[in-house]
Amino acid sequence: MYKDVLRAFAENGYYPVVTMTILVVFFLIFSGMLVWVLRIRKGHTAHMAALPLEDGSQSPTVSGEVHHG
Amino acid sequence: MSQVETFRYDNRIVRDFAFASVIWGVVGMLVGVIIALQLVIPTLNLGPYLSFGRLRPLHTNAVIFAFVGNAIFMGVYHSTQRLCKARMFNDVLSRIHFWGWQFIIVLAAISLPAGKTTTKEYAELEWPIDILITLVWVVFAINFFGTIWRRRERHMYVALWFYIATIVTVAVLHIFNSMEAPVTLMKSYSVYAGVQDALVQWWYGHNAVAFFLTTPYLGLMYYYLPKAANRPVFSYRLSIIHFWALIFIYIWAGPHHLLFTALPDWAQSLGMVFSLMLIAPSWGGMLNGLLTLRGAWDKVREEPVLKFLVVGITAYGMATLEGPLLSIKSVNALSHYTDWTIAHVHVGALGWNGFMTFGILYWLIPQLYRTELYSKKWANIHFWIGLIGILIYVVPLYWAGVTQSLMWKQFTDEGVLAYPNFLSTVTNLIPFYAMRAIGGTLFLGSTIFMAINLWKTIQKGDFEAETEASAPALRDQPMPTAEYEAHAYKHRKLERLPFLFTVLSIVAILIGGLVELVPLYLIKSNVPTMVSVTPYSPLELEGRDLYIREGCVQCHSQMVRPFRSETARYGDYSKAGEFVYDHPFLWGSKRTGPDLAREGVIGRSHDWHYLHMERPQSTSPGSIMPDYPWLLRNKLKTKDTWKKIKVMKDLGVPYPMVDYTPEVVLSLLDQQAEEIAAELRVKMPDRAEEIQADREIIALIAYLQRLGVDATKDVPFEEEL
Repeated sequence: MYKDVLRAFAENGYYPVVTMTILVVFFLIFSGMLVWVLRIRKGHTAHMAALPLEDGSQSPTVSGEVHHG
Repeated sequence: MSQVETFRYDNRIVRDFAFASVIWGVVGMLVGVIIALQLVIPTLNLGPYLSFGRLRPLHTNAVIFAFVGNAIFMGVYHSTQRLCKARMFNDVLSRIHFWGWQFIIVLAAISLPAGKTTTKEYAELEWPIDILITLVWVVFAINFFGTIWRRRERHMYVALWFYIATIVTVAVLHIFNSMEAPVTLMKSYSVYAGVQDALVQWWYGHNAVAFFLTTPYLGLMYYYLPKAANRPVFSYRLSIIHFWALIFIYIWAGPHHLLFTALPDWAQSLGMVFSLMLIAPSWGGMLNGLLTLRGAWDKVREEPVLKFLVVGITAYGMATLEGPLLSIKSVNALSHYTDWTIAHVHVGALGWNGFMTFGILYWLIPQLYRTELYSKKWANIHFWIGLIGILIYVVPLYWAGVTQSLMWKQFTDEGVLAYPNFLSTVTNLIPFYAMRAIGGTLFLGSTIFMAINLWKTIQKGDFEAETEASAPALRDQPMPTAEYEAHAYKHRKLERLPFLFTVLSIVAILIGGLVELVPLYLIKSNVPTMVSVTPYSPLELEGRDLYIREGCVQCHSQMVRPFRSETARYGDYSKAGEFVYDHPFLWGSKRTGPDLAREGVIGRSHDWHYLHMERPQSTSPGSIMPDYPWLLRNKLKTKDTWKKIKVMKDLGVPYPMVDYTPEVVLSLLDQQAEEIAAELRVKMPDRAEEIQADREIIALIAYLQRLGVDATKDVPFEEEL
């Protein structure tokens, strides 16, 4: 299979090199990001995730909202 | 001991944007229903000001910038204050933003039917209004970033990230795409031409979708869905990947609007590939939203607000799967220029933007007025009728789009086109267009129903103009310790540094644009020169501007794709070098009528055009094209012709200015016009009296008869650089 890849390089000039590089770079970046994010411990994000639910407002919340039991 | 500060949130500005959104929403949707009906009943084209070509941009601008725009500001102003625990930075800026935006909309409502258009989709407004948009956007940006600066919550919640990306990206897109050279107060030419103009336009156009219709609404989703469901977002961690991947990848997708056109292949491939990659972050966002409701689906059954938000997010998922699939070249070969594109747009526009807006309004208005929604039952009825409206809109158009495309492509066993007459592919679609109009009417009607519901809610409520809140000032809050930050996730540091966050966002969104646009300018081989191509004559240039004014590009493309079915129907496929003097480009996005790129070489006589423009049904029975009788009556205005030539010359079009003077230009124009008029009089002797060389129709005929001439000229082969 690698022979086909090498032949593609020879025949098509720089295009396959460029596209392969881009593919590898992006794959590494995004899988890296995924790993990095997955390593975040859940507890740390609890405060951030709850921000919409506490807005410092002192008004009573009425209507529309469903209060979970 | 921290010093707690008391402050107030400004709800008046939120209310004002909410009102504006609903009112303009009804207006914009009404224009949509009108143009939908015009396709079924062409006599509804009450020209010149209310013909389809002039009204369609009014519809798109109204629903995108007036309906969705005001809804964005409503949500951003409401949620930003609360996420920052700070009042908006400056009340005066809020007012300027609000009134400035409404003023822009009014200017659009006047100028677009008047035919003052740049013709570039979703950027049709002429240059003075573009400047005004920039100024108002800067006001918005100052107000928004000022609020972040004054925040009492150290770390920025994900919704704010999306608002930041929206503000900076829309600014970049608008400024670069709106680069136009003014000719008069309400007329300009794009500084870009042909292929470059096309790519800049769709770098802008697709990212108007991305950063005006999508990212702000994702921000709103991340705030209002947790608010309405009273539970936090499913995965904060997922939102980090979602955000950065989305804003980086989206920018590259622009070329998927230009597949199989004269855009260089490498750019098309990039557009396709990145559009496909975009499925991942888009669905990440959708899943994050929907999974927020895991275990709480019974609430969705009870609450109209949640119904709207859930269907909205689901529609987002559908549209962001369909879009990438439509970006696959082989799929696009079938779908481009058809109603499938329109259907796709409206899944997103009606489902995602529409339903999310409705859900937020149903939640927000009762909140602001400290009461319950007037009628949950009505809201449920709105939901169901709106949803049915979307289906009746979209499904007939899928059918219509695929039907028409297959008819275009069909060959008989003998190897000729099965439907050589374009019109026969249109008349088949009328029943589907009628169904679509019904769907749109249902959607509009149910929206009006919502407006009444909200109005009655307001009437029984008690508006809370300002909401008191309290929180310690930032300086009184402990900074995270180095030890804590080492433990916490790295992104957390970024969340408390808005300036750095903004800079990184800008970098992320610039990359795609630079990679795709810069080579088009620097590498000459991307737009191979064609020696036979010469600038439009003064008369043809005026005719081109009439084509632009009447909005012909809304229904006619000028881009023959390299398919046998297209070259058999229209002539040789379009090459990049043909369009080098086209400021702006006129490739079009839709074929309600045939492609016109080779109109000048298919052997149509001048009198065919004369009669066809006057009343299309006279030459083409069954045509749904509007009548343009005023073109025969109006005198062509030539007081600006010289200015136009000069501006084009400044933009690089090689007019021989050494020889040209205003008198020479006008006499060339008159000469060419008289030739055309003379031929018309010969062909139509019984109308010879009324045929005058100084009418607009002559200019338009000159332009149409020029299309494709240069590209198909026989020139001796020359070595080119």
